[in-house]
Amino acid sequence: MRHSAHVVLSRPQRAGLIVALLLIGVWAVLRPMAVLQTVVALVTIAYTAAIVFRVVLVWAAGRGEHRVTVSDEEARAIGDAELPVYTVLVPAYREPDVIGLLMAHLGALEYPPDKLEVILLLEEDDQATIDAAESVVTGGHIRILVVPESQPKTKPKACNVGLAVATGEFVTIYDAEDVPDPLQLRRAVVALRRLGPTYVCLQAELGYFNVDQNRITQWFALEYATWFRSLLPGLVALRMPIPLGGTSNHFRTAELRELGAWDPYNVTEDADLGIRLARSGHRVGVLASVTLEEANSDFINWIKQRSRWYKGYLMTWLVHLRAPRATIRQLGWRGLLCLNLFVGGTPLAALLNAVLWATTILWFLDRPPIMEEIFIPPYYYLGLLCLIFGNATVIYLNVLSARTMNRPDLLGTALLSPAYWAMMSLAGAKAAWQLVFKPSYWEKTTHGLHLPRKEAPAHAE
Amino acid sequence: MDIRLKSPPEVSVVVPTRNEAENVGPLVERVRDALGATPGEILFVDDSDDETPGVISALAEDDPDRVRLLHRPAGQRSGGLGGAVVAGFATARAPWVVVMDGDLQHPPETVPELLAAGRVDRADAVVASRYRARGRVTGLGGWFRRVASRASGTLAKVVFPVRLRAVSDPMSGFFAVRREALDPVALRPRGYKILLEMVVRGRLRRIAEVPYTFQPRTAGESKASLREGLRYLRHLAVLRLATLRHPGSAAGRMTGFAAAGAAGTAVNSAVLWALGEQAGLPYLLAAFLAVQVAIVWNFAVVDHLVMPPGVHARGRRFGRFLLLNNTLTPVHLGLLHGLVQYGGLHYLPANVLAVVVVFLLRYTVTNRWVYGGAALWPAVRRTMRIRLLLAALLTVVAFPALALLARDSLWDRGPGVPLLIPVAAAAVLVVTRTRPQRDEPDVHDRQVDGLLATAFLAVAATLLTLMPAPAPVTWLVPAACAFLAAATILLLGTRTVARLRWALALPLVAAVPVTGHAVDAVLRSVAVLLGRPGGPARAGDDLVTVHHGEVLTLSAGRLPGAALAGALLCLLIGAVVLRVAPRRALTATAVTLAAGAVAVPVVLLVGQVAGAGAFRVAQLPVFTDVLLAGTVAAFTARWSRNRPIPAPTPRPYLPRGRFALLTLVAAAALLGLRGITA
Repeated sequence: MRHSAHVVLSRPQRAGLIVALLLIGVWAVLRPMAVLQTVVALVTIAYTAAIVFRVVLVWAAGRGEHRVTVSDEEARAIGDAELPVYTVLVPAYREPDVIGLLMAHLGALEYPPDKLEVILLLEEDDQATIDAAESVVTGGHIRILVVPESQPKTKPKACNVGLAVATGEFVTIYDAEDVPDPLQLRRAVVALRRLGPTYVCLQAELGYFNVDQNRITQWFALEYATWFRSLLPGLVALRMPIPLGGTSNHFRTAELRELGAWDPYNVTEDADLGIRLARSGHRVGVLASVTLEEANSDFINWIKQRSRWYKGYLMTWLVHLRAPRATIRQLGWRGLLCLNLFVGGTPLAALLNAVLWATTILWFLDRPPIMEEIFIPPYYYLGLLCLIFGNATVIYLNVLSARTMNRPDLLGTALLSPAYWAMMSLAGAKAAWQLVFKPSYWEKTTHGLHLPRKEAPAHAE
Repeated sequence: MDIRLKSPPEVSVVVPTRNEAENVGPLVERVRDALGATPGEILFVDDSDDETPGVISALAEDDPDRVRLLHRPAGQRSGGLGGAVVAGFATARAPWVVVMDGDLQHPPETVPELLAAGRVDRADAVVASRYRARGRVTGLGGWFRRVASRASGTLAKVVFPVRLRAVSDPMSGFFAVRREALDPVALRPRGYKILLEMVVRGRLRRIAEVPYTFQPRTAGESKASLREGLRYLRHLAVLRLATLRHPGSAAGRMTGFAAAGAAGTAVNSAVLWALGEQAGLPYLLAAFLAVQVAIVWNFAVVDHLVMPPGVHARGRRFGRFLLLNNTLTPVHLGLLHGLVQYGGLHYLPANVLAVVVVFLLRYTVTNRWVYGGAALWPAVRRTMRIRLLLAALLTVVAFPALALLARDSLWDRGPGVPLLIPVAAAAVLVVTRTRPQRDEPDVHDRQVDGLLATAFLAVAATLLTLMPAPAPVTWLVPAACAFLAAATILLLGTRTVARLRWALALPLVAAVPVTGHAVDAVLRSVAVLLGRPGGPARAGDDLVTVHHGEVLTLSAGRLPGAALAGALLCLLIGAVVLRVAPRRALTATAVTLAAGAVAVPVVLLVGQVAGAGAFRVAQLPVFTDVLLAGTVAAFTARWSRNRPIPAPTPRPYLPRGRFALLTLVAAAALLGLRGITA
């Protein structure tokens, strides 16, 4: 596959990077102040652009309904005979505790069992989950597919294995802990038929069932609300590529196979697939139907998950910048903007945030004179603008999300989001580290933390 | 009927008998009537040589569930009456055991009352008393026996005033005991007065009483005699001596420890005098040697007479005693040095004072670690403790200025909260929160650890670099806290540090710009108010008192206002972290306030009574600060104890630490060197 993250940097990229670093190094020795000033200027401009881009997206999303809506009546109106065969892929690894719940949630789907094909994708070395699944799998339409042991052992690899045997006209992915809207499959069928063949994929909204578990889940919920209610519809409105979310994306099977399905080496295969869909001229819609996931409630677990996402975004960004001319030709300027400011910009902004905040604090603590030299006037004022209005805007977007979620009690959480940014920065740093040293490592997120803890067997004291 | 008999007995009535053939039948009849529907058994422990065992066996055959016989043939009757009762205890099956005589002088109708009292009062034992309001002594024939009985009871109460506080009739042979409250092995019956033995040696705590009327004998022979009385006196003396050794109560142990310590102080002083005055050694060296001698002496006394043996062997106990007491020697010597150099005392009285001040610490340490079965840090991996200590140690190495600052603030009151107080509170919090909580996910990440630690190290280094020249606490303490955070994150992992975050951040209290002026003003008013009319007076912001015409001034800078404010802040944080009920938090606040408020008049009083020399010593901040730190730490420990104990996890997570330790040592050395050269 050409656009694979099997290697993070292609040979020309690597050569270019080395040459660029050498040049910058030489320049830094000769004119250190000039280098610093340029870096600061570039960072400030990129940062401002990313913020403006977000605001534009929200503004675009607000100008109309850009999600595809299918009412309950429309979804149910379609007769069982007219429904296509639908394949649901459920990759799971080391989640024996969640399998029972999964069965309940899949059982709630309103779709005729003879048209439904559920494939549980389990890993060969994960006997606990295989046993748990074998003990609960009942219906004939649910199959267990044990993915043979091979590298890379990632979710996209498992999905590719599942896709190879899928018989459905449509295919979707759910994670083991997901709670999908029972009508979601029917809605997707109606919507995809209505939108026509240019639309190959629909991304359903993701939400959380444990919003109020703690502050982290509340932040997470606000962030997701911004993402799925403002940013993604904004991208749709501006006809830009959409980085898909990890679950509840509904595809036309044939087109997905043609496209080469998922990149098993990319740790955010979904975002990468979104860009590739756009490159091949296909369109993606956002479906107004919610799948509830488990929001990550634990600090360390959250950092792990988020660093994987950031690493994947960075990978996707680098992968698609390998052949810049082809990318520009296929994606157009809108796609390029999205690729740089959204896919590349999100993790980079998280990472830079820490540096910029540290600089700001240092300035207020000590006012080192060197800073005055580094920040030359126009960029200094631009940076100041970012500091004051940029932060205020992002906080405002969070407050707006609390409003769209109709959760006024999350206002305090929205105002506290700078603490969440600190967590993002940490995840960004971890992502950058891993991108260099462990690019294909899949940082496993532990699920089921919302479930009551099983009591440890009592010991006699 | 069958159903009731099959249920396990709720009460075992133990009746020691000796030649009571005529009384056995009526006794069984009356006990059966008295118990009614309560399932119970009657256990005869028979030491008879006549036909009594035969009579009992016949009764037992009629009603095998109710009546049991334990016959002790001649030659196996160890301990006499007491031994019989102990044997009955070992054989009884019910949770409650009632002991009564077989001669019907103890009315079986009282048995249900005993059981009811035991349940209602949640007592360990219930004594049927002849001397309570309703009880009568009609059964004792003659005034002499009545007086003798009463006198022996009173004597027992005089000898054991605390233990027999709740018992009006310690001679009673009629009582009920909760079997699980008593360890029969501890009992050494000498044939007489088993109740006394049980209460004193068996260490029964909660004792209730029920009145009854002693019945006249219906048949058989009385066994009381003058010889028995003499044996009783001996028994009493042996009991008293035995319980003086290794006292059971904490207060008793502490008193014993203090007595041993007082003797030890005398030994210490004598050796110090001998080495210092006679041999002419420098006083610190002499004091060190004197402490060693005193430690050995103390161990001999304490181990033989005061402390219960605990879980360790004697050799091990001595090793621990020596080691722990010697870790306190620097504290002792430091205090001595301070008292001599700053307080201007002669080293002999200063030494006594230092011994007294360190006493509480010594007692706690000895009680916990030498004689305690329970460790101070229960069920925490040893490596974890070592790493925590290492982190603290490295922080001290990295910030030598901080250690100097903490030392100086003991003798001179600085502007802010003395570091000692928040550090003491933090230490307690750390100790009580090292175990993982029940709901903590077992998810860890070394990269997060590394990144966070790097960030914290950067913060520490930056703060140190930016710090203006006269290093104030406001910069040093946050920098040290950042370093400590980095060290603990690297050595214990982010999750553990997140659990300990409050404890690790608590020293920041010392960097909070607390100005104690308002508190000082209150303390001044309290001191003046308490001292009226002859006590201290105000002189501007200072307080003055007079000793034989000499005016002694406690300057405004010496008032512990900031320390008190800091102590209260620490308490508040502790209360929030441990989710303490407001009422308990208020109590702690009141006690701490009282401690702070009383400290000032006490210092002035010392000056007024003992003169300028003593005043110079008493006004050293170290006393008030240690008092406040101890109070805060004690309350924090108390609050922590009531928290539910988390479920035991298989093995708490600990990251690999070699590389981390190397990094930390290097960082600490770098920072420390920089601190020394600066």
